[in-house]
Amino acid sequence: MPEQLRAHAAQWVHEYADALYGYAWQRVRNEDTAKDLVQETMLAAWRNMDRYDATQPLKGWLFAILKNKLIDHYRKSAAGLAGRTDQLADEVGFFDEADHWAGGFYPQDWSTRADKQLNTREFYKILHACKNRLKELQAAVFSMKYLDDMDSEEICRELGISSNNYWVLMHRAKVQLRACLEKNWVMR
Amino acid sequence: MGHKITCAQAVDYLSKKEEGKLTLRQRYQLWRHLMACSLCKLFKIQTSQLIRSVRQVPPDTMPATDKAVLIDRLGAEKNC
Repeated sequence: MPEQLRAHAAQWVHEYADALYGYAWQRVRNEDTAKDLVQETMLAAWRNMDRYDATQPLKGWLFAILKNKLIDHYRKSAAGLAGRTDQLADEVGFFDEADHWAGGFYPQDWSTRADKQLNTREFYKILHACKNRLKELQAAVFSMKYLDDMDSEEICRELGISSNNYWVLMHRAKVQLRACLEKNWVMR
Repeated sequence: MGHKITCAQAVDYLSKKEEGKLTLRQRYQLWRHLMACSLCKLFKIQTSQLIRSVRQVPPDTMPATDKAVLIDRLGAEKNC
């Protein structure tokens, strides 16, 4: 491979790969998906440099491509949601027949565990792991809402899901994320 | 005003409230539920805490081996 080309590629990767990867890593459930998205993004940009508007920052262009790829990735999980109950169903019953918190799933008072700070390295690691344990679509709606500040209507439109499905996904995401954190961090 | 809501409904209403999607009656029902239900109150506080925290999770960096693979992939492309 021509050395010049390789040097240019290396420059791109060193300059942009971490930022793109970090962004994807926060928004998908596993590292391999994040790596694939970054690779696809950079390859697409590299192959289509003729379409790049050089008056704009390259980083912004790369991020625009990555965001499109992320949405495509989410949409794949959303496709056929109607026929699949696994994304919508609870694997454990947080609520009883009367729709009150089920015994064993009562939210605990975290303030009794003052030793468990919510801003340490280990806490963030567990929070990320808990988020990755959500179902793909639950994690997607949660990230779009709380990392990207999109509202429910935009998210439904982007994913092609009904608002009813959206609220169920959001409900499950929050209940499970909170419970996972409580079990694996606060009360451990 | 109106009937009591369940804990599952309260959890749902909390998300909808963020987007101003509750009617006056539903807001009142949620408020009444939270006054009476310490579990849902905990849920509300803790969920806001973790939503704030999710934004602070320090992003990971791409492993060096994957960067090397990517450089090879890009360098092998002709159309640049």
